[in-house]
Amino acid sequence: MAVKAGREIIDALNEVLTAELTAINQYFLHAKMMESWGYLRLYEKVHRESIDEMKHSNRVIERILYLDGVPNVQRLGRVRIGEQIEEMFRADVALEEEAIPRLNSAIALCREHGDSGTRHLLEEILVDEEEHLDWLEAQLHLIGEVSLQGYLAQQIREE
Amino acid sequence: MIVCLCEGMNDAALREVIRGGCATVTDIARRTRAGSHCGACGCDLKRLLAEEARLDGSEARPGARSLAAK
Ligand code: FES
Ligand SMILES: [Fe+2]
Ligand SMILES: [Fe+2]
Repeated sequence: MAVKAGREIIDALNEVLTAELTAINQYFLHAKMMESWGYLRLYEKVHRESIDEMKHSNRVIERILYLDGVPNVQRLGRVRIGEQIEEMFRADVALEEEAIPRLNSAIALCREHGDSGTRHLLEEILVDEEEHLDWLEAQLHLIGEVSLQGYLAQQIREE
Repeated sequence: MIVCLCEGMNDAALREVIRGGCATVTDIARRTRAGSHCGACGCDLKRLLAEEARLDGSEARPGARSLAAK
């Protein structure tokens, strides 16, 4: 890979890393708020999402190091914290909706420069984010169907 | 929504401050310290200011201040 191409891919990976680090914090705090309100079932799920974002960060950092770049752990995106469950889900949807096109364009960049290793990693992360977004949208749909009260009543017990 | 995490202020509290006469991000920062730390909420503060200005304008009170014009 040309030096310039390598630089571009490292920059793209750092953009992805920033979003992952932001997501860790956002989901972690949302999970803890859910726990403090007694929605233990939701807490379990959202806490796991936060850990998943940490696993993504782990792999992105490894890849940047492999490409001889410096992982930027300094920069964080906007952390959007909701004050009620529905607001939290909407904030999380916004984060995932930004992540998906970012990952897609980074994947296109990798294809352009023939970096299959990075492309493969980003494709795996992309599928995880799509599944996460799908889960969030399902929750908002459920709230619409069974009402917020009905939905929340199901979130109290532990899994 | 929590708008300024550094100061722990939500949108409702900030709207109140804006209605209380803060017309710029600097005004808000001076009055509450929101926006004066990491600055990450700056865009959201501007959006709240613009929204409140629009609400203010739509009431069409004579002499209502127009923040959008500033
Ligand atoms: S989030 Fe408002 S100053 Fe940091
Ligand atoms: Fe992620
Ligand atoms: Fe995610």
